[in-house]
Formats: sequence, structure tokens, C-alpha cells
Amino acid sequence: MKVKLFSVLAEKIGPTIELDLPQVFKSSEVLDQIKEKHPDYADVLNQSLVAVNEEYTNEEDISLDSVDEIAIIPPVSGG
Amino acid sequence: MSLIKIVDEPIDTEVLTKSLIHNEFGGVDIFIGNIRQYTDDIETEKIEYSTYKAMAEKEMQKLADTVLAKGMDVVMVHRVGELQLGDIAVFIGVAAPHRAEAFENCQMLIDSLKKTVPIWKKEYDKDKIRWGGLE
Repeated sequence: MKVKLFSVLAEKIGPTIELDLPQVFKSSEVLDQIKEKHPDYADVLNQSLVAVNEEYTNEEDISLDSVDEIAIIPPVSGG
Repeated sequence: MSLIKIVDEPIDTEVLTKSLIHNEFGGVDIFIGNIRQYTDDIETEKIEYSTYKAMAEKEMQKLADTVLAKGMDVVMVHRVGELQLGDIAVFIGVAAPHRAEAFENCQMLIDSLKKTVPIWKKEYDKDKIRWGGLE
């Protein structure tokens, strides 16, 4: 599954990252997998949220079948 | 009527302001955010804004919908790309029957935008680059 990255993560890691996600997972598992691959950005990832199909997720179970797009949302800073 | 979008070109405040003038609304409150040179001792040279556009416009629309549902008119436009000092980054306008609700909802929209809308700034300061939002 290709996961979209933005802001500092996109610049340092790339616009997407390929992850191997189980059939059912939580947003924290997405962040954990990226942390394992890129421990240097654990601090940013600890402050980030996960969006599925352009909606923020919390701690609910996510079914891979329902996912069209996953994105990591670092702390926003518009305005 | 309402206009919610992310753009990569300069924001025309005059056109947006005019779009908020309707006979049924007696008050229009507008917030304009522009690129500030100094934040305490830190001198900013320019800011690059990036976004997750599809989601950002959805989140902006959700915020606007709460105000539109109360019968007011809303404009929310955020610019992305490279912005120089003085450039306008964001325009929020609320038209309402009376000023109090225009003030209140305009403030709510900009405060909420800063918390939930996936837009990021990369601030080129004189001493170093800073990524907005990070602790």
C-alpha cells in the first residue's frame, strides 16, 4: 500500500512510502511502520495524524478493503 | 455565493470582498493573513506553503458548512506555493445579518483552519529553515 507523505516528511523521505499493512489495522500501526523504516523522523511521526480516504482517523480499526488512500498528516500550519 | 478553495496564485481581496456583499447581510468581517517579517527576533524571508489539496478543501468546506448552515455567506481561500513578505496567504470572509455573528464566525473559521486543514508552511528564516506546527 502506497502511503502519501507531506510537508517535512515528503521532503525528507519522499512523496510516498510503500507499507505492508494487514487486512485490519489501526492508524498507530501505520505510523509505527514508518518509524521503523525512518527512526530519524519518529519525533515528527509522533506528532502526526493518519488520514484515510481524505478523512482523519482516530483509534478505530481500519479495514484495508475500505482504503483508497492513506496519508500521514504532520501538525498543520496553514494561515 | 460561498467560495472555498486553495489557489496557487495571488489572492484578489477586492473580488472576494465584493462577493460577500449581499442585500440581506448588513455585516461582513474579513480576516487576511499575510507573510510577517519578524516573529520576535526571528526574521522571515519567505514561506513555502504546501497542501494535501483534496483533503484540505474538504476540511475547509466542513468548517464553512457550519457557518453556511446558520444562513451566512462564507469565503475561505488559502494560497500555496512560495510567498514573499507581505503576500496574502489566507482570506476568510463571513457575511452575516449583523456584525457580532460575522466577527465571531470569521474568528472561528481562521482558528479552526489553523488546527485542522492540511496545509503546511516551510519558513525560510534568516538563521535557518523552520517547519511550522512542529513542537
